[in-house]
Amino acid sequence: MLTLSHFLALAAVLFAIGLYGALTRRNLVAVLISVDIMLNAVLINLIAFARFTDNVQGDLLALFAVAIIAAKVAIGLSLFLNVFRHNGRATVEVLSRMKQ
Amino acid sequence: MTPLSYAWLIPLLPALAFAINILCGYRLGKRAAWLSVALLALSTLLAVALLIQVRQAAPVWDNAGLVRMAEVEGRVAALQGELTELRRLGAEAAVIQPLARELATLEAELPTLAAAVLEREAAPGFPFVSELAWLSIGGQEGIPFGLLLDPLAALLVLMVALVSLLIHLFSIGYMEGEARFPTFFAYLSLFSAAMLAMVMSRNLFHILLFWELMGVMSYLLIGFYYRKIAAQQAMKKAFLVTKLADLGLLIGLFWLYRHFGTLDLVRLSELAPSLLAGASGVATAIGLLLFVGAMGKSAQFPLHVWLLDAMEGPTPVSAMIHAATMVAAGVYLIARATPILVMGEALPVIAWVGGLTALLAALLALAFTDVKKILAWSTASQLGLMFLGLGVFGWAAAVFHLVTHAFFKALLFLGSGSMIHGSGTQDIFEMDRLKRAMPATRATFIIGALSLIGVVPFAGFWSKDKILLALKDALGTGYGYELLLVLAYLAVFLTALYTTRLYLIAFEQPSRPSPWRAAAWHQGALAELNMSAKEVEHDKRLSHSHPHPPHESGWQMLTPLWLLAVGATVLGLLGSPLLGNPLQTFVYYGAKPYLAPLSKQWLGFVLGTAVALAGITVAWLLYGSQQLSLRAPEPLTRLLQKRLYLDQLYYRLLADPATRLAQPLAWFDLKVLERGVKGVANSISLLARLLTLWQSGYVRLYALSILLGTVALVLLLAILGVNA
Repeated sequence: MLTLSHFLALAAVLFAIGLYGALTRRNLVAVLISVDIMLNAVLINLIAFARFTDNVQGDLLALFAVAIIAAKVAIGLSLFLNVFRHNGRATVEVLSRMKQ
Repeated sequence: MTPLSYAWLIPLLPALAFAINILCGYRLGKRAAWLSVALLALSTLLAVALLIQVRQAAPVWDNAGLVRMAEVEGRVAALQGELTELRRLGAEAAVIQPLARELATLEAELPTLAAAVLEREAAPGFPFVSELAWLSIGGQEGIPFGLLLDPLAALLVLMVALVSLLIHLFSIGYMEGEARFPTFFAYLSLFSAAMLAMVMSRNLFHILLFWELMGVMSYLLIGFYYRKIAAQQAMKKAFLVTKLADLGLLIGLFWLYRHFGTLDLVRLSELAPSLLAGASGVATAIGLLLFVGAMGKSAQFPLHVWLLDAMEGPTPVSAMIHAATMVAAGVYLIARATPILVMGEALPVIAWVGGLTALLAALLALAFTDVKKILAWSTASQLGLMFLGLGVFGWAAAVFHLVTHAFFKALLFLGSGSMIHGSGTQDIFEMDRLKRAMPATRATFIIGALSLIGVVPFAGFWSKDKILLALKDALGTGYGYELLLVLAYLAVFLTALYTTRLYLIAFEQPSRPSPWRAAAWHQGALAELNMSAKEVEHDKRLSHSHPHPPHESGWQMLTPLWLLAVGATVLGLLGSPLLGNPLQTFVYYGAKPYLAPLSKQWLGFVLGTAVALAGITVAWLLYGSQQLSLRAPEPLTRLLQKRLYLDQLYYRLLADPATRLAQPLAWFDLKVLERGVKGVANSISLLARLLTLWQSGYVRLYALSILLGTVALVLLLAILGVNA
C-alpha cells in the first residue's frame, strides 16, 4: 500500500541526488539536469499532496511549474551554449570569471 | 490710480537690480552699476509720485489752527494745575473764580478749535492700505502682508530712495576698479530695497523681516573687504550686537502678538488705547523691548559699539548705513510704535537714553582722528537727539530731523569719501590742506557741517531746534527733563566743536603727525581684536592707504555731493515755522506736531544759534588760530580713545565666558561626537568589506549558501515551533 510518506521519501531522495549533483558537477549542463531533478522532486511532492488531500490545485500548480521549467531549460541551455562558444567549454569555473 | 497699484514696484526694482547683478553682474562689468542706478532712479520717480499722491489724499491741517490749539491746550493744562494747587492751599474764591472762568471758556473753545484745525478732510481710502493673505492656514488670519502708505511712509520712501540713489551714483566713481564691483552694487541695491520695503510694510512682522534683511546686507557690506581681518571682525561684531538687540525686539513682538492677536500696524493703533488701558506695565515692557531692538539698530548707548567698527566697510556703505538705511530703521520703528509707547512709561527712558547717547557720542567724536570715525560718532549723537525727540512726544520733530539728517550726513560721509579718495588717508591730521586741491568737496563739506552744527538757515538747524522745542514743552513733567535739556545743549555745543575741528584740521591745515599717532591707535585697536603683527601688516597692505598729494574727485562723485548739499540747505525750510511747518502738518498723525507760535520759538532759535556759534568759536581758537591750547588730561583722552572701555567690558562679560563655555563643548564635539560618528561610519565600511569576500563569483559557493540558508531557516522554524 503506497502512502504519502513513500512519495515524500522518494521526493527527498531525488532532491538530495539533485542537490549533490548541482553542487559537485563541473559541467554546466549536468548542473542544469541536477537542478531539474530537484525541481521534479518538488513536483512529486506537489502532486502527492494534491492526490492525498483531494485538492486539484496542486496538480494545476505542478502543470504550471512544468511549463516554466521547460522555459527555464530553454533559456539555460541557450545561455550555456553561448558560454561554450565564448570559452570553448561550459563549466562552472567559467561562470565564476563573469564577475570580472 | 491709487498709489497701491505701483507702490510695490518701489522696493522691487532695486531688488531686481540685486538679482541681475548677483547672477550676471560680472558679465555686465561697469554696466552693473548703471543698471542699479537706473532701476533705483525709477524707484525714486515712483516715490515722488507716491509722495505727491499721498500729499493730495492726506488731510490738510491748518498750521495757524494747530498753533492756536497747542497754545490753548497748554494754557488749559497750566490753569488746571494752578487751580488744583490753589484749591489745595484753600485760596479765596475771588482768586479762584476768574481762573476757573477762563478755564471754562477755553475748554469750551477747544472742540470748535479742534474741528477747525482740519482744513481738508482725508480723501476716501486714506491712508492707502492693501492686504494679501500670507501664512494663512485653515482659514486663520495668519500674518497678512500689506502696504501702509501714509505720510510717514511716503516721506521716508522718497528720502531713502533719493539718498540711496545719490550714494549709488557716488559709488560708481569711488569703487572704480574694485575687484568685486558688481557684487558691491548688488548688495547696495538689496540694502536699499530692504529699507524701502520696511517703511512701506503695514505688519510689524514684515518690518522685522526686512529689518533682518538689512542686518544681513550691512553684515555683507561692512565686511566687503573680507580679506582684511579688521573688516571680518567688524562685520561679525555689527551682526552680533544688532542680533542681540533684535532678540529684545523679537520678544517684544511676541508679547505684542500675545496681547493683541495681531501685528498689523493699522489694527494695533486702533486697539492700543482700549487694550492697553490699565495695563501700563505691559505697555512699558513692550515699549522697552521694542526700544532695545531700536537701540541696537540705531546705535544707542550702550549698544552703539558696532557702529565705529562698521567704518571698515567702503565709505559709500558707511554713508548708506548712517544716512538712508539701517540706523534710520530704529527711529522709524519707535515712531511707528508710538500708539503703544504712549500707553506706558517707556518714553522717558527713550528720551534719557537718547540724550545721554547724544552727549557721550559727541564727546567721543573729539577723541578720534579718523574722519569716518568722527562722523560715525556724530551719527550716534544725532540719532540720540532723534530718540530724545521721540521720547518727549516730539514725533514730527524726530521724523523731520531723520529726514534732514539723512541728507546732511550722507553729504558729510560722501564728502569724507571724496577726501579719502583724493588724499589716500583717513586720518584728518595726515590730510594736507585739502582746501587747495578739493574746492568742490570743501564747499559741499562746509554746507554739510553747517547743517550738522545747526546754523541758520541750513536744514539741521530747523530740525534740531524742533526737537529741543519739544523737550522744552515737556519740562516739568517730572522726569528730570531740565537736566536733559542742559545735556542736549551741551551735545549741540560739542557737535559744533568736533565738526569744526574736523573741518579745520582736514581742510585748512598742513599735514602733520597725528597727536595720538593714528598708526599707534590703529595697532592698538587691532591688538584689541587679537591680531598678530603679521595680520596687521596684511591689513595695511590690503587697505592701501598711503597719503599722496590730494586731488579733486570726478563728476560722478561730485554730482551727488552737490545734490545732497542742495538738500541739506533747503530741506529745513520745509519744516520751518517761516513757511508754516508744512512738513510737520503733513506727517501730523494724531501726535502733537509741536507748533509753538513763532514768537515762542525765537528764544530757542537764538539760544541754539548762540550755542552752535560758541562751539565753532572755541574750535577755531583751539584748532584754527591756536590761540587757545587745551590739553585734556591723559586719563580722559585714554578713556575716550578706548571708547569708555565698553568693548573690553563686553569682551570680559560676554565673549570670555562664552569662550570658556565653548572650549569643553568643542572638546566634546571633537573627541566624542566626531569620533562616535566616524566610528559608526568606519565600522559599516569594514563590515561591507567583509561581505564582499562572500561575493566571490563562485556559483557553487552561492548554491551552497542558499542551501545552508534554507537549512538554517528550516531549523529556525523547527526550533521556534512555527508550522503550517
